[in-house]
Amino acid sequence: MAATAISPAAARARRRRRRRTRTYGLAFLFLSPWIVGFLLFLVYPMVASLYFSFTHYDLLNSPRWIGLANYKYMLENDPFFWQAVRNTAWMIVIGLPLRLFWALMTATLLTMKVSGQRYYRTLYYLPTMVPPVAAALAFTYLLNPDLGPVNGVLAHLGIPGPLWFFDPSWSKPALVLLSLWGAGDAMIIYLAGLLDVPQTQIEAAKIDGANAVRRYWHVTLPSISPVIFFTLVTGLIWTFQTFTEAYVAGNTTSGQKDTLGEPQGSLLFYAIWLYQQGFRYFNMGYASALAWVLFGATMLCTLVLIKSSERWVHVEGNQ
Amino acid sequence: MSALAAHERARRQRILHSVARHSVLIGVGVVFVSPFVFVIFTALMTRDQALTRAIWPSPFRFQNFYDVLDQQPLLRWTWNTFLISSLSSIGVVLSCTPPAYALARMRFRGRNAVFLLVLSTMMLPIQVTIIPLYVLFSHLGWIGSLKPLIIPGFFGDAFSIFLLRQFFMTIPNALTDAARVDGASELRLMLRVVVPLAKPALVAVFLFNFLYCWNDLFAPLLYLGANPDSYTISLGLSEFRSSRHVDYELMMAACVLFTLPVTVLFFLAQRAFVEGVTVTGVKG
Amino acid sequence: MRRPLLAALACAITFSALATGAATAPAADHKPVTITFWSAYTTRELHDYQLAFVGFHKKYPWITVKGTGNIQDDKITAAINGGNAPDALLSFSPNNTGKFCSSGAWQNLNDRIAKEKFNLTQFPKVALSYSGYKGVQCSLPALADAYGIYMNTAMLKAAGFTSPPKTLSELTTMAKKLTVRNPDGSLKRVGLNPLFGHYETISDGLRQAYGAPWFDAKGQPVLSKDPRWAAMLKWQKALVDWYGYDKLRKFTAASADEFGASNDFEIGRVAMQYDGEWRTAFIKNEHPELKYTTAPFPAADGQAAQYGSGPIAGDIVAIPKGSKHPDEAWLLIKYLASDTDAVVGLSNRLRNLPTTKAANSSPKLDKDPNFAPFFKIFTNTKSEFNPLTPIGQQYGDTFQAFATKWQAGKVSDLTKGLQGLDKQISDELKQASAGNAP
Repeated sequence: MAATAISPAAARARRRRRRRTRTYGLAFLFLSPWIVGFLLFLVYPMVASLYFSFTHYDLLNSPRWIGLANYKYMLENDPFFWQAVRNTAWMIVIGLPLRLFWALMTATLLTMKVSGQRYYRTLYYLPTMVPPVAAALAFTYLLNPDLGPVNGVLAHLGIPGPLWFFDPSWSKPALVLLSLWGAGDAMIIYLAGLLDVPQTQIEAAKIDGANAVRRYWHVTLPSISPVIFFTLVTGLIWTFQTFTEAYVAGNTTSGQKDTLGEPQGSLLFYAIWLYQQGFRYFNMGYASALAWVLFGATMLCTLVLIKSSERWVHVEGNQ
Repeated sequence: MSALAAHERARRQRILHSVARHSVLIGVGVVFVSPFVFVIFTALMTRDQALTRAIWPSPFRFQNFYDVLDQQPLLRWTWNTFLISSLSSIGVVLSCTPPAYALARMRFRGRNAVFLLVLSTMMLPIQVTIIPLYVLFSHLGWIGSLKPLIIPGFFGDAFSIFLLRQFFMTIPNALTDAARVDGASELRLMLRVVVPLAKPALVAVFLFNFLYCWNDLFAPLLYLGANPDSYTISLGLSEFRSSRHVDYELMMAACVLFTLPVTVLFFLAQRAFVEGVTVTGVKG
Repeated sequence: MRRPLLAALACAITFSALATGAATAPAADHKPVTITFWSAYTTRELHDYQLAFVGFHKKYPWITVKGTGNIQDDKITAAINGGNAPDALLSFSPNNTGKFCSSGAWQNLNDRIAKEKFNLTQFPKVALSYSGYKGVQCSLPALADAYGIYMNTAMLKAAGFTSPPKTLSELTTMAKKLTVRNPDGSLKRVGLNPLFGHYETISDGLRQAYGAPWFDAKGQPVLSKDPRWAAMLKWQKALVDWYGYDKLRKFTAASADEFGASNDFEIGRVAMQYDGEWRTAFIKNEHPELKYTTAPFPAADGQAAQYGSGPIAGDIVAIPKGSKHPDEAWLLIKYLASDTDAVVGLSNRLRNLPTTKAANSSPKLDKDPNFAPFFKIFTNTKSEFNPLTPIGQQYGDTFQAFATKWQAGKVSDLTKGLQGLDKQISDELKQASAGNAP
């Protein structure tokens, strides 16, 4: 043992420090796969794309600094940018709430006490198993104005079916139909939440004389509001990036594969315009600028949503 | 009214309610099921019939499934998709278990901050990172190969870490405390105590990632677009039109073949899915 | 000490073989090498094109060519950047020649051409216009396309027409008379489908019919300044409105894939169709029983001098940056572009236009009466290729987006609309050169 005297307290403190360092070191080690991924596949690309957004970069030559020219062009000289913004906003304001509402309604149906409830649940969830590309292709056929069964059924009922994906006013609603069909993922989450509603509160409401609708509005919905909030936030972030179904549908119904977003740009969503700029025209600097604007808009809307949640999301104990 | 009559009436009402409920459920069910039915029927039609409004195929043409495999390199696409999905998912499980363990069961200052950071990365639109990543991969010569879709899986995935962390936290502390007292290292705790108990969650993570990769279009579109030999099924099908020979009956047959494997997988692993979803969605 | 000498001898032999263009016995030092060749062809056309490699292999037995199809320009750009570019390639869209030439994505061939005294005049001038940019010859023309009008013989006869339309007014009359409607008013058979965004780019044909230029001498768009654009758009819309835009839309939505066997013209859903010369090959393959004739697309009334011309498109072969075997690649693209037998064979199989004067006068060229008008269109002095710009095909896309809105009736003020379009294209051009020294 050392000749210098160490007080027991100091020795304990040193042991604690060593242990903490060891814990930190160990934690760091455990976290390292994610940390490397974070730095390499997230931080680096973010910084790089911010840099690209101030350049003109076509992949064949090195990036050429142009300052704010990309952003200026975006806001002042690019009508397709605004069309993309409008289309995406439509999806967020109309498509997303419709989808979540449908998911909530079907989830509520699935809470009914009937025999074989399990099978209905599987059935409703099944469409989410279909790969988005296959689902989109299937719907381009189902909603084909002349060959598809949907218009066939409508014709039987005497209703002239719209041109769906071939009509700019109906192409987005057609996409919404597709998303309703596959709303099972949100539905399952809502179902779990609905099954978790405290029965005591329901009983209490019943005793107070509330009917089913009032019980739903005053007890059930507040109880699942955290779940609704979760699906709203994730749905919002996801809807900003609408791409796959619109890409496939636009590709398959337009006669040409060079212009995306047909018909008449009605399916030109933000992510599609970004893809076209970056990977068809190889305007990578401009596409990076578009990406950062998207990021900003997503963050802003998410923050607004989170702030608003304080008013309508009921956390346990915040009655 | 006699007790028997009242009993009868109550029973009738119960049956009526049951029928009503089932009808509604079936009605909505028809909406969900009919696309499957129409697609499968069309996949079995002849070309001439597919160009009409007929619903019922006559004759049945099972050969369409063979034809589409013949006309498009569907088998190669399937192999590529399978490679990507399975390897990447293995990578995710391997690379997300330690971070999730650290965030769930190791105590260190800033643990919550790191967790929030991990969560926040889920909110980042991928568009912000794809262009420099594309440039990076193209400098590495990986564009056109399957590497850009597999390698990043070995470096963590926020959603999987989240899922595993939630699950790991449900394991009683008593189990690990006891082992810790016996002098077990964290590594051993993770491998011998936590992981065996967390098998359902690990399976769920694997399946979620497998499904994601199987279905993904965007990443394959970006990184594989230059090399038709490495197409995935989603990429190959999305270009059905540009391959210059589109026929609806073949397209539908291809969709059926594309959907079948994951549907089967889903049925086999149904419980794992639902458990995984519940852990994250509700108590978030 | 003998090795460098042997190598020099091999070089000399190879060089002389190249210079004379004659097939010589390969020097013993020609190591067998496999080179890769990418093209945009698919299925039948790919097979037919790659038969040319057989003749190439006979001429240069140590070189084997491995071909890959379905490669478009964006894939090529990615490959060049990724360092796995092919040795040689064929591109369908010379619109990007401007971009690729100036950035070196396609190698500058000037030196090779000068060294071997390779004769560029064997190619028609219009073909050279899209294979080089600002003095840099970075590709060679390899088969061309010309566009005209296809007419169903039986249907025209039944309606009393004996000759092809020479003016747009005649076309209008014929299209209307050849149209058959169903009892409920929907379209059963369409005389000519004038919709933008369907099958081939008919706006190119119409532009050629009017002789309307895209850009002025300074390279700025003139769609709102030259009255022919407005005239052309008005003609198109008048015909679309006669059909009924919605009815035409519905009819088009049920059209099968353009390159499948159920192409509208091939199965008789339309009586006349604007199409390229390669359609003759498709018809021969898929519907040999179809009786049809071809002719140049009609000229606008008052633009009679334009008659006989048509839009030109072409394929080019090039050596990309990063090619691992550029010398062998040069042999290949030279062969594909200028070897008479090869060009004639390719033209016969694919029914594309041969791009050398020698091939065109070759007796081995298939004398198909339906094919002959296209060659005349190709050599007509007024036939044009869409001008090359630094933004590649982007201005064409921008125009198409406008045109599809126009035909749907969504543009209330055409003049204002065209001015906006001019500004948009001008801005795109400006953006592409942002940051460059003025």
